Amino acid sequence: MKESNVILFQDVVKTRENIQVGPLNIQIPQGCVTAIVGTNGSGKTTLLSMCMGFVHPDRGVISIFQEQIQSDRDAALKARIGFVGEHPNSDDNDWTADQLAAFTAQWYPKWDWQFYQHHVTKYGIPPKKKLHKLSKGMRRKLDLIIAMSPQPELLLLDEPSSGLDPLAWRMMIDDMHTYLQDGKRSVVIATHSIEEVKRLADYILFMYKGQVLQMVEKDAMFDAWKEFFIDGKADDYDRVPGLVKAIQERYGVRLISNNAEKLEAFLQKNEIPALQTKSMELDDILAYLIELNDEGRNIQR
Amino acid sequence: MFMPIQINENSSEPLYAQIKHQLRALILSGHLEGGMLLPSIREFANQLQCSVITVRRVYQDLENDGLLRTKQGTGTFVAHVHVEERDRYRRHAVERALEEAVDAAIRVNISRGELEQLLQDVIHRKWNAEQAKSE
Repeated sequence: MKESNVILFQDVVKTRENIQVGPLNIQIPQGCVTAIVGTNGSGKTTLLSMCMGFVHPDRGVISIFQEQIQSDRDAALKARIGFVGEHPNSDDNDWTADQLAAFTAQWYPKWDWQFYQHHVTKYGIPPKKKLHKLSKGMRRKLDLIIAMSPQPELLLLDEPSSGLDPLAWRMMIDDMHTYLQDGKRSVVIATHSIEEVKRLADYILFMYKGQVLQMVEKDAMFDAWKEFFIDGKADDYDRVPGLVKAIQERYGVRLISNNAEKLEAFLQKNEIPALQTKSMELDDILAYLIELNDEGRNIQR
Repeated sequence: MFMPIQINENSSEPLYAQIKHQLRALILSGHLEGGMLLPSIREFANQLQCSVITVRRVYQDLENDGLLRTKQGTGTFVAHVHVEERDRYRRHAVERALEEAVDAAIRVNISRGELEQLLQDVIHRKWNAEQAKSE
């Protein structure tokens, strides 16, 4: 079964003060969670803002639900998208949660009051308190609920969990799973949380300095990136197939691989026993991807 | 629904293969009965903390092998597996385990006679223990 795309970027370029974002060519599959992972200032927020039409690209085409975005008449399109931005909107500060909900509900024909009420109670958000008096985490929870209450087909989330306490975070993960249950809805989430990627993502979009480093299916990525511990000296192994880096340890060598299958086949053929094989963490993988990119080496396996 | 599938992140066996082998074993060993509804792709992916792409691939492969079947709009079910196939699988699983044991013996240069004697002893000991338990 081939997935169709929920978001499509074709040669999209946006020049910002410090960096040029793009040219971006991205396909975000429908029915999946795509996590955007990258360093600060890598263009994640610009990418999401362009999807919402808050930022207009200098050139290129962005399509959502197979429809090209046109800023002047995209109200119907936006009614199908839930969005949580990087920062809460300070224009709403003098409102209460219920007032903000009532205002927002006007724009969404499928707004679900029952969902809203249930979740406001569940997350313990005071419905009658002015928003500037809420803590950062409370405000974040409210923004998430308001984004999900219209039952959108697509959720765009910019670091939604920043400021959430661990219990609220768990509730958020559960709510996302419930939201995704029908298999057709899609989520794009910019995040710095490794755990969030592990628990939610199907695809990972790595960004760095305004460019896409790699878009990869999560499990295929974790299968490909492994560490092997073997006896010997690092210098003897720097030409091994599938190798990113050979690191000298006190006892033996640590081989970092982005093609574990290839590297393991090499070890077996040469009868080099791997003393240990270990999976790698997302932040290590990101760091090595950046290293490969900066050295001008090929990232694709 | 909880599925007893154990993932080893540090194994070099791809995640997809680990899940497929274990699910296949659960079906062929009769742990999952014919006609049983499996979790949805998203639900299973959440439980295993893997992607929906992996689960979809596992379901599709096992469906092609005749172990699962999908009804549009209802979900994925365990297929009714023939008795012969189940027996074949049981024999195969034991055969594989024995092969590993023999490999271990070869690695430490044990003699054939010694291995045969050892196997007899192990069977004798375990069988008696099992019988004692059931009495």
